[in-house]
Order: sequence, then C-alpha cells, then structure tokens
Amino acid sequence: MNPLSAVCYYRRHKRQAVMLTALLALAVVGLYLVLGVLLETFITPLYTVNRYLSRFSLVQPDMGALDPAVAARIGANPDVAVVLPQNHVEIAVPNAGGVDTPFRLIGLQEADMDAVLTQSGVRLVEGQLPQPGANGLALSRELATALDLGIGDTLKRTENNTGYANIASPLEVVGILSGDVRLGIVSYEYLDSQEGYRGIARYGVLVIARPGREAAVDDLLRQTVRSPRVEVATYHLLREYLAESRAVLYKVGIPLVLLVTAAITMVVGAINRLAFMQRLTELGTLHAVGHGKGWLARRLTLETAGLALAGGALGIALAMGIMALLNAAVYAPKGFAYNPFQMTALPFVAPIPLAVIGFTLFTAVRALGRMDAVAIVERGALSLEEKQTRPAARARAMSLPHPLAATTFYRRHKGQAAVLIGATALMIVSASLFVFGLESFDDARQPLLNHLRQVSVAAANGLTLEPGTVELVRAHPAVERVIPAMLFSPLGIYVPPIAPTYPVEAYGVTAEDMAYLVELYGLRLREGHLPRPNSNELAIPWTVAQNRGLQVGDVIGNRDHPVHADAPTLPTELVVSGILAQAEDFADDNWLSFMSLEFAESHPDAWKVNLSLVVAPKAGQKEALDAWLESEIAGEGRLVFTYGNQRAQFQSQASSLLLSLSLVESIIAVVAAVALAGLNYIFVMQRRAELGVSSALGLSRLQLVGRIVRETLFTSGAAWLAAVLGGAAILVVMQYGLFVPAGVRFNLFNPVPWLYTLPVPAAVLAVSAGAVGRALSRLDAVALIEGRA
Amino acid sequence: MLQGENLRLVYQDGDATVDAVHDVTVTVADHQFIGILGPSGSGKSSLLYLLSGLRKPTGGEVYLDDRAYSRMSDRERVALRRREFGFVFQQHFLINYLTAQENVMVAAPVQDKAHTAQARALLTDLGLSDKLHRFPYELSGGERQRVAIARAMIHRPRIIFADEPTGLLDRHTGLQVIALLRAYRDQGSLIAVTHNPEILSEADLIIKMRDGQIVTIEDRVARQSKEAAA
Repeated sequence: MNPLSAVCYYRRHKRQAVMLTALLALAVVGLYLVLGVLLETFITPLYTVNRYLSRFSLVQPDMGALDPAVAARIGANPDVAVVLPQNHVEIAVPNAGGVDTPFRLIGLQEADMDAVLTQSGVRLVEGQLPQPGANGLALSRELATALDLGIGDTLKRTENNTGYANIASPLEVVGILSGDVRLGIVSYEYLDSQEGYRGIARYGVLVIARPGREAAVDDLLRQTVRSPRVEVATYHLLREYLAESRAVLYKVGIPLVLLVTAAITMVVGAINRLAFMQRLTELGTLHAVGHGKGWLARRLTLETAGLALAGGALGIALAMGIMALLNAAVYAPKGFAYNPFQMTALPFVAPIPLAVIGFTLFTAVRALGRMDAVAIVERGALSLEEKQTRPAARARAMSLPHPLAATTFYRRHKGQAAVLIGATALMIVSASLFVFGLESFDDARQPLLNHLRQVSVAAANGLTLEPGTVELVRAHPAVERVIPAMLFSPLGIYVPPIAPTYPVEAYGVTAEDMAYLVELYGLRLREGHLPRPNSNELAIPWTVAQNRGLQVGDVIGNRDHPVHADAPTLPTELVVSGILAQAEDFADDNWLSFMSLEFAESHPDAWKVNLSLVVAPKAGQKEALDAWLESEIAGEGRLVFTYGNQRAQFQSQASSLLLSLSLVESIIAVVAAVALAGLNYIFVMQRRAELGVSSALGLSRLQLVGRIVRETLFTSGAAWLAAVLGGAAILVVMQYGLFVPAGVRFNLFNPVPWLYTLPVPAAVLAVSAGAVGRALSRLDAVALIEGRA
Repeated sequence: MLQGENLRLVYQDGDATVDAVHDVTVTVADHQFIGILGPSGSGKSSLLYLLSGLRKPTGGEVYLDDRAYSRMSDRERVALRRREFGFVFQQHFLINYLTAQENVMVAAPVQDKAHTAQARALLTDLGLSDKLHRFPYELSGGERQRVAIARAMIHRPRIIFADEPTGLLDRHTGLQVIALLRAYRDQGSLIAVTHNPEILSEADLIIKMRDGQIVTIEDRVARQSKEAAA
C-alpha cells in the first residue's frame, strides 16, 4: 500500500475516519430528513391528490354558470377530444403530516363517468358508481384511507367543520376506485338538486384532450380561456403551483441548509485542525524530505474529501432508508405513499461535504503557507513566528483569580471557545428557525378573530339562515341584539414571512346595525366615512388598508383590473369610503370591514344575499350564549362561529404544525448534540494529561466531570445567549422590515419560540457530560503520569 | 506517621504480569526525608504510588496515622491526596494554558486572596517573583519544576511525594530543586524517588530497591559512619 495515500492514513486512524464519516453522515441524514419530511408533508401531497389534472382539465367561472360560448369555443378546438359538464365541491384531505390538502369532489353525469374513469386510468374495484341524483360518492382507495372511510360510511360536515365545510349534506361512500390518479366522483345531478350545494358547488366543464395534444389544450385553457372571470385548473398550473410551493420551502430551507452546513463545517474544521496539529512532525518531515506545500495541502484535502464524500453518500443512503421506513410506517398507511428514493432533497445536502472539503483545503493551504519544516522538526511548532507571538501574549497575560474556572480556560482558548459557541449557536438558530417563523405568523394573524370577541355568528352554509333558527336565537335570554348580516371576504391580508393571504371578513349590514356594531367594537374612523345606505361603499380597517396599499377612494373588486393579483373579484365594484383606526394595542385590532346591506339587497342580479346572524350578547353573557349556540344551534346545515371555537381551530392548526416542527427540531438537536458533544469530547481528551495530574493532585472524578460540565455549560450558555440575541435581532428586523410595513405585527415577547432554543444546548450539555464522564471513569492518573496512556 | 506493611503490587503490562512491589514494609515518620533509590524497573515509583494512594496495593496495607487506605472510599483517598499530600513528578505536568501563579493555585484548597498571596510568596521564595504571570512554555526546565514544587507546597501538605524530581534537569538545577524540597522538611515529610544517590545526601533514610524488593535501608547515622569509615 502507498504509505502516503489517504487510504493508508485512515486505515491506521480508523477511529478518526469513522468519527468524521459518521459526523458528516449524521448531518446529511438530519438535513435530508428535515427537508424530506417537509416536502412530503407540505408539497408532494398537493401533487399526489391533484394529479388527475394530468388526465383532464377543469374550467369554471368565478361565479354562476359558465358562459356557453366559452364551452363552445373550447369544444371547437381540434385538440380537444371532449367537453363534459361538471360541478364540484372542495374538501380538505389531511395528509400523514397532519396538514390539509385541498381536493375536488367532481360531480359528473352518469353517462360521462365511464369516459372520465377510462381517461384517468381508474377503475371501480368495489361497490358502485354514484347513481344520478343520489348522494353517492366513489372515492379512490388512497383517499378513502386518508379520510378513514369505507363503503357505507358518510362524509359529513359535522365530522370536520373546517375540512368538510362545503359538504352541505352528507355524501355516502358507495364505491372504491383504484388506478393511476386519485378521484372523488359524485353525481352532478345530486349537487345540482340540493339547495345546500347551490351556493357552494362550482359549475363548469371538464376538458379531455386528444391523445398527444394534452400540452396544446393546456396552453389553450391557460392562455386563451383563462380570464379574471374564468378559472381553469390544468396540469401545467398545478405544476406551477407546486413550483411556487417549493420556492416557499426553499426560502425556509436554504437558510437552514446554510446554518447547519456552517455549523458542521466549523465542527469538522476544528477536528481537522486538531488532527493537523498532531501531525505537524509528520508534515514537517515530509516537507523536509522534498514534498512541496501544494502536495501536502492536496494530500490533506484528499484525505478529508474521501471521508466527506463517504459520509455524504452514507448519509444519503441512510436518509433514504429512514424515509422508506417512514413511508411504510406512517405515510403509506394514511394513503400518502411517496417515493423515498427521489432526489429532491439531494441539492440541499450536497453543500455539506463540499463545504467541508473547501474549508479543509482553505485551512490546509493557510496553515501550510506558514509551515517551517525546521521549526517543526526542532520544536514541534508550526513556524518560528509562533515564538515571536508569545512575548506579546505574555505582555497581555495576567494571572486570574480562579484558574480552574471555565472562564479562565476559554479566555486562554479563544479559538476553541469560538468554534464551540459559534457552532452551537448556529445549531440553536437552525433548530428554532421554523418555530420563530410560525409563531410570528401565528401571532400576527390573531386579530383575524377579534371581531368575534364581542359577538358570535350563526350561519347556514351558502344559504340564508332559516326563520325558525333566527327566532330561536332572538328569543334566547342572553341575546342583546340579533343582526342580519351578509358575510363575505372582499380582501385578503398578507401575513409575513412566507404565509398565504388570509381572507378578512366583512359584514354587509344596515346603516342602523352598522352604527351599533361600530360602537360595540369601539371603532373610530381614521379618515373618510362609514358606507352610506344603498351605496357601493366599504369601510376597511387601517391594518388592511396598510397591508394592501389602499386609500379612501380606491376601487376594489374590479374583475378585469383587480387591485392585487390575489384580490377576489366581487359581484360589483366597491369604493373604499372610510378607514377605521387601528387599535392602540395590536392584539386588540379589529380587521372587520363594513358595507351597506341595503346596496347588496338592491342589486339582486349581482349580489346573492344569504343572511347570517351576528349575535350580540347581553353584558357578561357571552360565554353562556356561545356555549348555547355551539350546542343548540350548530348542526346539520348550520355553522356557529364563536371566538372560542375559532381560536381552538387556530390553535389546533398551529399545534399540528408545531408538532411537525418539533420533529424537525428533534432531528437537528440530535445532529447538534452528537456533533458538538463529539467535538467537545475531542477537545477534552486533548487535555488528558492535565486531567490526570489534577486527579493525582486530589481532584475527584466527580470534580473533574463537574469542571468539564461547567466549561460546557459556559460554551452552551454563551451559545444560547448568542443565539437568543441573534434571534432577537432577527425578530426585530422581521417586525420592522416585514411585518410593520405590511400593517401587522407580532408579539416580540411570545415565550414559545424561545423554548425551542433550549433543547440543543441541553442536549449538547447532557451528551457531553455523559461522554466525558464515561471517559473520565476510565482515567488512570498513574498511567498518564508515566506516559503510558 | 505513614506506614506501608507487606505491600505488594502486581499488574498486567500487555501480555506480561509485572510483580512491581513485593512484600515491602516501610515507615515514614513526621518531618522525615526518605529517599527511595534504585535502578529503572526496581519498583521505587510503584512504591511511591502505593504510599500516596495513587495505586491500590494487590496485597498489604498502607496506614496514615492508623487509618488504613483500604478502609477509605475512593472519595476519601482523593481528599487525602488533596489535603495531606503534595506531589512533584519527573515531568512538571504544569497546565500549559495557566500562568505560574495559576498553576500553583490549582492545588490550593480554596481559590481566595489569601492563597493567591501565598502562591505569590512561595514563587518569590523559589526565585520566580518576576515570572508569576508567565506560561509554562515561557519558563526553563528548572523554573517549571520550581513552579511544580510550589504547587506541591501551597496547601502545606504533611507529606510531599517526589518522583524523580530532577530526572530531566541538569545537575546544577537538580541540586537547587532538591535543596528546595529538603527545606520543606521543617513543615512535613518528604519522600523522594530517584536513581541518583547524589541528591539523597541529606535524606534521613535511604531505601534501596531492586526487582520490587527492599535491598537495604540505611539511616543517616549509619550512612555517615560508613562514609567516615571509608
């Protein structure tokens, strides 16, 4: 074997090789899993569930019925094979990660069902297809699994008020489908015949392209048919949406990759530096016998490169294995099987070995540049310069009162302290990054519910609440006032940092009720005036105006020229007549808008007015009234929105996400604990002689372990402090750079994300103490003194 | 008084079994300077480790004022080393990132101002007043060993164990170091291991060892008579 080869070096230094390879593999596994889990939880299900768009497309107007001319134009295109009538309602399918994925239950006429199934490569494997006019539902097996439904079961809103909000009346599973894509088929006639679905179901056409002309039809629908009034759902658009979703993931993923890569590079760099210092004599000798510094740098880099690539490959293989296990144990049983061997996360983990190799090359070239072979051979020092730097150090040095204190050790080992503190701080930030993002977003969206603090709402989904229910509510002794209101969402509010736009509520109420509500909410106008009766005016909160850049006099809801790309089109344009002042405390801000109910009712051709009830309680009766509304009024066909149930829903969403993020944090904490504790252990073991003589002088093992724990506590504590200060700085930048300009803000003092900064230093401390304690339990002072250990 | 009775130490060194100390009995009175002399591998350092409690004997017993080491817990033996004993090794074993003063303070029972002053005084007495804040790598071999001696003395131990304290020093520096150690006899006992008889000229008792056993024990009177006769 070539004695100067990297293979020879690592065959003789197996522990070092195994440790570095394992460290890199662990980092790669951790990062790959984090990104893999996020990808399979947030992105892939969107594709998996909606992949039927690769077989056909859907076209529907933004409201009402599709213009027959549009359907005719599509049918006349030579690339189109067939155009079928369709209606559909959307439900949310919870995936294995607890995140809802939107999915359409498509209503088809009986005669068209076979054609759609054939085109989709799907067949009926159990039961039957929905009968015309009946509430039957044929569902792909995977979706039935995800929704925990079997033949004979019913899908009803009471099971999931949010996910099944559009299920006006129960649908019974009558058939199970299997095939290339996932489908949910219901009877067109049934959706059409049920009053409850009329305001909810979307009507349009289903377009099947001629074989080989799918792309052309996709282009036609997107480029020619799509307009502010006509929505299309095509495979190309699905992929565009997926690309946008991935971009959001990358926005979060790239900082995470950079942080973890930097931390691991620091750790590996420190280990390499220690190994390098131990090999000074070897390197000096090789240089003395004629090997150039370039050759030595290449050799050192090659040694690390081999391990880095091996570690990277091992990490990827392990990560894929774990992803396969996760798929088999969690995702597939819930109907969301994925391909664990895809390469999507690969580009994210590739920087780790590459950064390590690059950093090694950089440090090797830098250190070898100063190398003086004679100095090394004679004194074991890197160069004669080392000797010259010491008087300066002496001039600065003063004896400190506590030589065994952690601060003394790290004042004399600043580089080591910097590596440990820096790497730990980076890991802490990596682990808590998502939680800071989520919590700031969650905080900022809380005012969405504030309009329910003073009132509650009873509604019939898509319909006017029936008079019997109205009378029942009006007669309740805890009710102060019942206000018929048209509920709608004229605007969306953008909540940073990467969140979607949230629809904000508006009440269409009479002038009298509007005045009552404004007083009840304690609102005051900042500028302009409240909507006048019978006018197309809208009063919006200042926060929404700021968020959307709106001023008094602006027009919204224009179909052809929306104010924003995501602004909903409205039945008629509305003019911003007034802007309501922001609450003094942002947490009390009210994001409710008001318009004239009289105007909507006087334009029945445009505004389909379905009246809900805004219920104001008597003083001190809100809690009792809400409890009664939730228990007695909410039910089949009726929804009740109280502050309590809506807040619980928010919290449930946030908890579900926090749970996923806790998994992410656990993975990063394990990587950090092993990597940093490993590095700490190596640093401590460099001090065996010091520890041995301390033991001989009468320091017990417990005292020695205590000393190392105090030192680790110092670095972990300093790292935590650095991370917290860094995190606080990032939060302030986010608050004033992103949130405040968008009119929103979050609570800088929310304790939850800060709690997520604790596991990494705690894990590092625990693993370090365990590893060092175990090593010191084998400490033999005499052997060290005699130079035998 | 420190007593070792019928001490035996057997240990494994690779495949070989080493009978390092074999049936050795020795007594060290207070304020006595004991020298243990012998060639390499004679068991003198092993005997020192047994007497100081750094090693547990395979057989026999060590007593300090009638307290048997074998009846002490590990913690008690560690505390004994910290409070009652001081150590000087062949290598200085100073902590490289601590200054001379800090290295001395490592063995102080309490890190307070009084002991800091005492550390300074000791180093000054040992001729290192201008090197209190120097790091070990900035000191000569003799200076390092003097710092190690100060470290052994800072807590005023009853017994100082010195294992080849001059082994790595030149003759002149070695004699200086021995003089410093010998001066400690006023405060406590000194047990010094060496293969160099010259440094034991002032010893009260010289134990000569070979192959793990005591060959002779000579006190100063006998030695002086012998020298006079010679």
